[in-house]
Amino acid sequence: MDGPLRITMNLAKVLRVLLEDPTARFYGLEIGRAAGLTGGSLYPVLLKLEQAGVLASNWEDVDPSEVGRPRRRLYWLTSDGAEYGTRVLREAQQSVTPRRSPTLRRSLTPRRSPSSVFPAPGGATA
Amino acid sequence: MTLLWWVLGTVFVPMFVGEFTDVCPWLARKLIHRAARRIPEPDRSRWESEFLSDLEEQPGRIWKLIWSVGVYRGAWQMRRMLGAPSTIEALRARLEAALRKLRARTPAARPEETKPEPAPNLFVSHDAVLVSPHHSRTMRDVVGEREDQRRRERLVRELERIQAGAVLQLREIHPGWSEQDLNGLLDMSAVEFARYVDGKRLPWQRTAA
Repeated sequence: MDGPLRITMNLAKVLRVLLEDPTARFYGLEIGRAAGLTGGSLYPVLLKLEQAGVLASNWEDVDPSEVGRPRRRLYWLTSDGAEYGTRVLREAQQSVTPRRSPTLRRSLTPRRSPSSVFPAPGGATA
Repeated sequence: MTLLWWVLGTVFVPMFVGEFTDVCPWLARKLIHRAARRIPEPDRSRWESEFLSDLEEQPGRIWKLIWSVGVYRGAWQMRRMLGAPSTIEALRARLEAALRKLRARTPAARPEETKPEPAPNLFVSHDAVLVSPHHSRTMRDVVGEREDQRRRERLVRELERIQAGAVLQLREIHPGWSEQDLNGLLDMSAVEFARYVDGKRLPWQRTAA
């Protein structure tokens, strides 16, 4: 962890999605769909988290000709990042009262994981 | 007129819409490439591949274009996060570099114009010096000296002529006078000479009287 991050709404949404399953690996589009973010606001958040050491990323180890699509960039929480994200979300939830900002509190509250949005082909969740 | 609207609505509008939707993915890829160019090296190729990979998974043709516009907007933010200067700073740096280059450039040697050397006019320069306010007093003195000198020379020439005429007449009047007596007369001042002439009552003096 390089230093404290400025917690924004988009960053909190991405952290919430990733903390649903801290060990899972998600690709950018998957995170964006679960967090409700498009490319213009998603990628800067991913870059910021990666620069801070909260996230790590790598290219998917598949053959594009076999899977019939380009390789995906996979993101996962680092061990420090999971701890940091949990602490940041908890502090953010405590600092925001439902009466003052119900929308923000809802965005900070875990609701559903990307795996529930994009279920695995076999029906099992990741 | 109705037929024209019908032709426009049934032929041209669908044609343009179809053409536009066909062009949208191409435009989206172009926009992604431009967005990737905003990101500094060495992260550029990585993000470009990721953008293109996610673009392929976007549904619809027009939505691809809309999504790429968002990525392009986000690329500017990522550019600043990756330490690249902002557009204003980059523009200012380029302008300053251009200005430094312009200032460092030595001016080209111009061929010297061959003007004819003006003939020296000493009088002009001398008069110019004299006419200047600093030398106005000197100018008056010089002019006065010249005038006095000319007057003196004129008087001397006149006196010489008078003396010469007087010597001739004296020789006629006093043929027995020696050369020494005549030279003594010539050495006299003008006043003494006039007094002497008056005393001798020369013919030309008597005529004038």
